[in-house]
Parts: sequence; structure tokens; C-alpha cells
Amino acid sequence: MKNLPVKFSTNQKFAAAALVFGLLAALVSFTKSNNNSDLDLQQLASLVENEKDHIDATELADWIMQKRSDYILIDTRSKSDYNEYHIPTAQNILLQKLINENFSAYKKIVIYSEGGTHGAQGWFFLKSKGYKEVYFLRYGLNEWIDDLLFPKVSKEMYESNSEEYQNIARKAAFFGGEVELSDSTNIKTKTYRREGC
Amino acid sequence: MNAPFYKYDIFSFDQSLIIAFIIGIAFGFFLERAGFGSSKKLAAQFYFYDMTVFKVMFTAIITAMLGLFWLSYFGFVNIYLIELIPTYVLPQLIGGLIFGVGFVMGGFCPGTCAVAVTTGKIDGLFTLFGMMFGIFIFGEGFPLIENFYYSTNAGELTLTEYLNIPYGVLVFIIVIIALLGFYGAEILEKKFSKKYEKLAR
Repeated sequence: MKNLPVKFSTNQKFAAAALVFGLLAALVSFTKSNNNSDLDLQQLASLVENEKDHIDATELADWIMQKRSDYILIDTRSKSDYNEYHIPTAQNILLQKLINENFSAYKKIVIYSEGGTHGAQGWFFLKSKGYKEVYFLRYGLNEWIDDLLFPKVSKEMYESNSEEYQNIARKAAFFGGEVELSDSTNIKTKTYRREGC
Repeated sequence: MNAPFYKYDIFSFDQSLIIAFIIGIAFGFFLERAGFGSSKKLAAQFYFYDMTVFKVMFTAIITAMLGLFWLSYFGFVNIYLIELIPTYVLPQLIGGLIFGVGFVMGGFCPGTCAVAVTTGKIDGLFTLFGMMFGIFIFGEGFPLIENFYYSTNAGELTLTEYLNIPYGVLVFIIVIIALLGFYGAEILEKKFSKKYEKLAR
């Protein structure tokens, strides 16, 4: 290096290094993927594995209670099921229609169904259509009913009247449900395996 | 080795606060060493006779950008797990404007005013109080602006997604922009340092 005819300052050396690393970055991005599809499966798998693909009932309830306007809530069940009951602010769009629908790119999209499956499948459809912020309700309407409308709390929790309990009760009441008492023994054994998906 | 460490549970939430504290101290230290504890230095940016702020910030940007690109390319960082602040177009435009006005008026941005206070600058103290007051007003008035705050959501938007160009190509383009910027900054400094000779001292 000492024999170079021109002396480079430290700044110039760093600048040259940045230029080289930047140029290499551009080159490797052309060689790396032969995958022509726009679908980035690596990214999708990463989102799923790290549980960034869904939200839970309490989070959704918060959004509704805050009257937030930055999300679209979609109920993929049949028209009659939807008419019988649906989560407030939800609109009824069946999966077959969902794939042809155009949504605002500026809103979060939350999909739910009876259980978790159809919501998750709808999530994949919309993701593959290029929507950025799509989520599904993890265990679907079942979760909404079990965890939010009619949450089961232990007797101790009910009697303690703690802030946590009040929070649960307030949310249930807001959406027209109520807290149910249960034996503390079977609280953790509830399952979401109901019919439908 | 896999990063982001926090997302892979390498350390707990409590430990993450300690690490954040250490990083914060380092951030403050380097801001101070770059001379950003002085509002004169920061204001010089807007008169073009001292472009240190621009140079330091853009150097940090391309260093982090190149580091992240290559670390993720070789599999050390899962880039999809890096937390991005969702883009809310209008609210952030307005927020940026308020930030800019505050910066020009106070001569500090939030980080540098804290640095200035620790080195005993009175104007830094006033900016810090102003910032705290702003935070208080924002917090108390939040219900009034909540709807606006969550409007025009564009999600976790990145330039590669928005412009639909490969990640590496974008990295290269930004490096070029930075290098041209540094070159331009030096020219501006030469041109304006004469004009503001008295201020510069």
C-alpha cells in the first residue's frame, strides 16, 4: 500500500470500502435467488414460526374498544352464521370471494372463522396476494366466545376483584358477555376442538 | 449464532433493559464526541458551513445497512424479525414537521438535548423541558387525536417492498447516494464557511 502513487485519506478508504460492499450487495442479490415467484416463502415461514401471523381475541377486543380505524375485520363463515352472531365491526366475506376482493393497502386485515383453520388459510391467500399486514384470529370465533365473551375465572380471582379480573369482566361486559365461575382445577384444560373450522 | 438476540430469547426482558441502557450510554457518548452536545454545531447544519451532522448520521446509516445486509446474507441475522415501526403516512408527516420545527427552534434533537444537559448547556436544559412538556401534552391529549394517530396505515413498509427493487440493489443505491452526499457536503462546507466565518468560530 505504501507504494501507491496517490495517498488516500482514511475517509476515502472507508468510502471505497462502503462502495465495494455496496456493489457486492447489488451483485449477490441477482445471483442468489432463482425463484421467480414474488412469494417470499422464507419470510412467510419466519412470520408463522415467530407467531407474527395472528392476533388473539383480547388484542382484537382492544382495537374494537378503542374504535381504531386502521383495520378491516373479515368473517369468512356463511351468511347465516354471520347473521346469527359476528364480532362487532366484522364484514362477511367468504374465502372464495376473499381472493378476488381488493382491500386498502393502508389497513391491517384480520380474518377469522369458526376455528383457526380457515382464518389461517385466508391469511395465506391474502399474503400471497401481497398484502402486508394480515392476521388471523388464532382460534377463531371459539376463542372470542371462550376467552372474551364468557371467560372462566377461578373463585379466588373473582373474590380478589383484582385489576386483572376487572379488566376481564369489563371487556366481557362491553361485548355483551359475562364472566363465568369455574373450578380452578379445570381452568387450564379447556380445548378449542369444536366443530367447524 | 442467531440475531436478533432478544427475539431468539438469548436474553430476557429485564436483561434487555440493561443492554438498552448500555447502548444508550454509548449512543450519548458518541453524540457528544461528534460535537453534538453543542447547538451551534447542530445549527451549523442548516447554514451548510459544517455538515458534520449529516456526515455522522449518514455514516451510521450506511454502516448499519451494510452490516445488516451482510450479516443476514450469511445467516447471522433474521432480517424479518427486526422490529419495524409501522408507517402511518399522514400522522408521521405531521410528526416529522413538528420535529423539524422543534429542531430548528431548539437547536437540538431529543438525543442531543440530553447530551447537552449532561455537559451543562442551559439551552439543552430548556429543550429537554420543552420535550417533556410536549410528551405530557401528547399523552394527555391522546384520546383526541387517537383516530388520526392510527390513520393511513401502510404497515411495516420498507423501501425494497415499496419500490419493488432487490434488497442488495437498494443497498448499493443508498451507498452511492451517501457517497455523493458526502462529496456534496464537503463542497457546501467550503462554499459557506467563508460566508459564515464568524459563526463558525
